Amino acid sequence: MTSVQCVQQELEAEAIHILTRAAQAATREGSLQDFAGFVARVLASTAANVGGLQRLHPGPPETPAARQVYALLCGTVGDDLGEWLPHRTQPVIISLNVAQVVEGGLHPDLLGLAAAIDRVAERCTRGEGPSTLVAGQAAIDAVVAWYRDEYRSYADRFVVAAEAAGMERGLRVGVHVTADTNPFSAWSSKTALTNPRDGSADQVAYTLWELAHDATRPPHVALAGAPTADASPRSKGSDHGST
Amino acid sequence: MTATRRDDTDLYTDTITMLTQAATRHHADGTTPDFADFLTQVLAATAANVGGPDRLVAGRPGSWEAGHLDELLRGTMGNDRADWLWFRTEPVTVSLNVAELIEDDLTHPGLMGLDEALESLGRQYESAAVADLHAWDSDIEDVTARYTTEYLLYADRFTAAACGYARQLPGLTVRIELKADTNPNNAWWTATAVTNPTANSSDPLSLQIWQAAHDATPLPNVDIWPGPPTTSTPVRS
Repeated sequence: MTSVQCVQQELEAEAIHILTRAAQAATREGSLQDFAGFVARVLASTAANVGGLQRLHPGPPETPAARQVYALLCGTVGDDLGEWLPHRTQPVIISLNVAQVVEGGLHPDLLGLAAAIDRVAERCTRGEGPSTLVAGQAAIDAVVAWYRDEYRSYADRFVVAAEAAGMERGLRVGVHVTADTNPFSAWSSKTALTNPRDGSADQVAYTLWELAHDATRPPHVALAGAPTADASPRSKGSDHGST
Repeated sequence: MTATRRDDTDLYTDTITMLTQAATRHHADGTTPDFADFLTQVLAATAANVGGPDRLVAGRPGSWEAGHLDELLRGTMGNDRADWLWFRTEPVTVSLNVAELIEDDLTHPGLMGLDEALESLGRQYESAAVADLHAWDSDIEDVTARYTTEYLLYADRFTAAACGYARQLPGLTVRIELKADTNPNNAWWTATAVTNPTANSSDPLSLQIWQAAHDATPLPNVDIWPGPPTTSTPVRS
């Protein structure tokens, strides 16, 4: 027997044990009496925890048993997020990589930190920026500090928006955002914390991420088409930032 | 919140956690196992553990949830009770209270419990012209010892009969656990006592095995009523 089979059997044994306890409770007077209703409710919550009906039941049900399971699910919750989100019992974990938001193609008008630094360096080379090495480094340090502040600030706004999006749609459990706000983040590497994609393991996390993203003003960083100055927009102003 | 409600909440949470775990696990090749198949097997085993699909939908038999659950279970387990045994995963607990068996008028109205036997003995001595107190005491000890031994032996025979019957049930592979109270003075009518199963018991299989064992087991050698019993319900002091 493989370890995968073993885990599956253990899960099945544990599930039988718990449901048998529930069924025995259903026969006790004054306790849980509606076992079928109990099953329908726990299925709705299970579907909500894994990210919706499609996750539990990809594709149309083919066997008679699958049709009944599907019917039990559909009777309690529909396909609409607002219907099944209130059934969720496990917190929603959302990952956020701000560097990926800026550099990953969602906002082609924004410059990532590396590109912003390159632009400062180019200006120095062309004689438009600081004229000494020390002054040039100071200009780069200022850009880095500016990006760090903006990325942190963006993550804070994003958290508030994600929580609000969950609450608006009836979510009764917490929304936890795990954020990488490092502007140097190597978000394209395999081990990096990355933003969820459509088809991710938890569709709720993806949906709330999108809603929070849409509701959150992007980081106030350098624009792709505009020249980058040697300091943050707080001191230099006009040629930085996004809308 | 009452203890029962809290228990139910725990059950709800535990069940969701377990099913969520089952729904999110993956095979070694990255594919996801069929959740509907998993759930069907789990529910069939649950139904078998408590005595069949009827028991699971008895709370609200007409509801739409009950309709789907019933169809799901019958489609998997069939309608024949004998087939349900294959799905059972939990041991069958058979409880036996020998004093209840003897003293409950519904089972064996002609048999005397220990108290009744001692009262009967007392009446014999009280009606004698001169009561021999030593002989009376000795008889009380003898009767009590006989009841104690007979109840123990009966429980042994009953256990053997129950296990023998269960072994012959096709598909039943789980353990049979016998919980016996052989104390002839036990208060079997109290809420906390081990009692013999009834039709309203939670597990019909336990009742079926109990009845088969009872029918196959010679009764303990206890006193019998000379005529009809004096009371319909035994009264304990």
